Amino acid sequence: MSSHYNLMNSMQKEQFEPYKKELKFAVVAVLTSILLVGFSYSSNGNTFEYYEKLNGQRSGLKVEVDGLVEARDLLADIGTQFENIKVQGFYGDEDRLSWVEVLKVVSDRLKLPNLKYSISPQEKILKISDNSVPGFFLSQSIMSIEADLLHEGDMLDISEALSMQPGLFRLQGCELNKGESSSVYKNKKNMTLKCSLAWHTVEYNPDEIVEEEVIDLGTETEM
Amino acid sequence: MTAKMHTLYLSDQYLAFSDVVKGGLDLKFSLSLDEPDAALKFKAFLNDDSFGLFNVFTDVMGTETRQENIPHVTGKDRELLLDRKGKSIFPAADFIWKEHIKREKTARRDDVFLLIGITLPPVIKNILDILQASESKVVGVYSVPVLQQVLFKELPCFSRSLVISRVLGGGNEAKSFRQSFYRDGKLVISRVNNVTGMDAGKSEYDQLFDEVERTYQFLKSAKQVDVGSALKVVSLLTKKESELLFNHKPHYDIDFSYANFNQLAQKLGLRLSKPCSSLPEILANIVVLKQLKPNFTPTDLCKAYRIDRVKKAVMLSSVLTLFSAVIISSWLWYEKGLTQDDIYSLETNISNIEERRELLAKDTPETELPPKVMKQSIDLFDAIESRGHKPEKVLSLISRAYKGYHDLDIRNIVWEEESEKIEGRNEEASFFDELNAPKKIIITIRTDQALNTRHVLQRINDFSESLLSQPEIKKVEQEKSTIDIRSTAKLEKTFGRGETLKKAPELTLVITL
Repeated sequence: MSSHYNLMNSMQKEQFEPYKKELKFAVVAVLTSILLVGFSYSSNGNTFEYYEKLNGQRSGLKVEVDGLVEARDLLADIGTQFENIKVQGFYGDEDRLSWVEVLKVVSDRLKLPNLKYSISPQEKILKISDNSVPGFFLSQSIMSIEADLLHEGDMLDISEALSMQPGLFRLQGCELNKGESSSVYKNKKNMTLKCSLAWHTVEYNPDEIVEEEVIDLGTETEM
Repeated sequence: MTAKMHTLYLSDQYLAFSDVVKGGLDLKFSLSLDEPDAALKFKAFLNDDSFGLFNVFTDVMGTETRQENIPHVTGKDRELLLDRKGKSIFPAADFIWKEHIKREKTARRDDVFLLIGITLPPVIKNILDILQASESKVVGVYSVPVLQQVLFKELPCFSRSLVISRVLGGGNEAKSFRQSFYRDGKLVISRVNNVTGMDAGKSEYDQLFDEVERTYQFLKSAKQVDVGSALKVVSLLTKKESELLFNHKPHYDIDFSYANFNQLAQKLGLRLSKPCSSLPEILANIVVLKQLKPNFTPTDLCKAYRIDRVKKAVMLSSVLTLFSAVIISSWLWYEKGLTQDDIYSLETNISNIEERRELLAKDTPETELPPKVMKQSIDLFDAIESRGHKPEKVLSLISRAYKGYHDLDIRNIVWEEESEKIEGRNEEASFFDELNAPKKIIITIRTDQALNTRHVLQRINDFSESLLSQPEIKKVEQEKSTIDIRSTAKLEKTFGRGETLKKAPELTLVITL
């Protein structure tokens, strides 16, 4: 077995013997080529990688600068407006207690025969506009009011009193109905009022991502 | 650089070595192999100079021809079968030429092969051994009878004829001629005849003529020539030799013709600087010009050439690999240079942007919230505020238009976001879309019963006009009415006592903001 292997080995050696010089040259040429191309490729790759890195850095800086320019322009444009709306309670948590307190005060002051209200749990409106800032949320709480009024002025008083409270509301719907007979006596119902108000507040929380809590604005408009 | 080419012609008694030059062959060395020290002289000649590539031509007496049928097999099996067949037919042959002629169309549909066995005399074997020992680069061995077949590709008129040519050497006393009979362009028989100066009172060409007649008798008996048809003999000898051969009593069954070497060379496309004088010379020139493959490439004899080719191929591949690597690397370095230039300009650009960022950062005050958020909050506040339709706004709007119409009793006011916009809200609609949806105010009016219908309608129309004149109002429509005078509506009223019991007529106006 061993002699057969040796014989084969020596035959192979003999076969390659005439080409020894050329094969050596070929091996050196191939190795040199691999080293040359490999080194060049690696060097080029590193340079290109660095270029890509710098390109990314420039893009990031551009975005940052654009953001700063935009921020500067926005701040110049905004002035003190944001502070004002913050004072008005539009930004931050809602203060529904003050709303119900003022309703009680107005009802007592106007001596209304009847005033009934309800406020729904607060919900987030996910889609404010097509280009809203991520993490910026608009919330709404629906307040339903039913009241017997002496005259139209009572409705204006209620609206004015609510407008003074923290937060901002919009009227989703309202019905003012005059009774069949009018009376000048106090505490006599002359008109009925049914209104649905949406109280809005905004807040910014960049860490919070809301995807599921999409509310249907149409469901709470019922008066 | 192309290696120099040489031809070595070997017949039974003669050796001729020529250089291949532009315009033909240039004879450098010739030798009669009958000389006792011929081998030594040839060895000395080889040692005297260095040579390029050798093409060896053999033109020997020992050439036998057979056409054999073998079963139709392909690939390695065919090779083995042909080898076995060749060895059994020509056991002493040094080279065996195998050429496929056709395939039978009937019976077993065998393949028909032409087998030519060439047996070299010892003196030629000795010459080939010397070549091998000197490590001369022998490209291959050509056999003149085999090679002669290429003539018929160029000259179809020879396709069924007996061709007579000179075998070189032999001196003045003895000459050798080759008679080769071809049928359909394929060799059937090839024999060499030696003729001496005067033999039994006959000249060389008388003897050659007798040999031709003998060949004719053989071909007839072997049914290679059709009964009644003459044997076409083509003389590929010099003009003088041909005339001497043709100068015999007419033979009705043998038809002699003469092919001029120069014309033949022209037809074959050979552009020779000096005229040829023999068929082997023509054939050697064809091989060189058309670079024909050798008929035989004996392993040991062609070893030096094969090694040389492999060496050159390896060296060429190595050089090409290195060259390609250099080209690719150069391109990569060039590209790197370009990228480096881009990097310099990019770095400058980044440094400028960074400076600008620093300046902007100084100019921009820090805020609790991102300015975008602040801006969006303000926009949202303004939008809700402006589109909120608070009671004071709605009542103020109606009261402005109501001035001068106190005879019309407003019973009911309802304002709401347009119902279909709310109920059929698109899932994709944003809050801003919602805010901007049209708003409606519905007013129910009761008129004075004492007024006549025409007057009531006039007052309602005037009130509608007054409403429409308010800038916030886009449209006013009359929705429900107890007095509808349109042709498409039903109109009814009771006059007399029943009239006073009825409620005053009511109308509804729909205002779109």
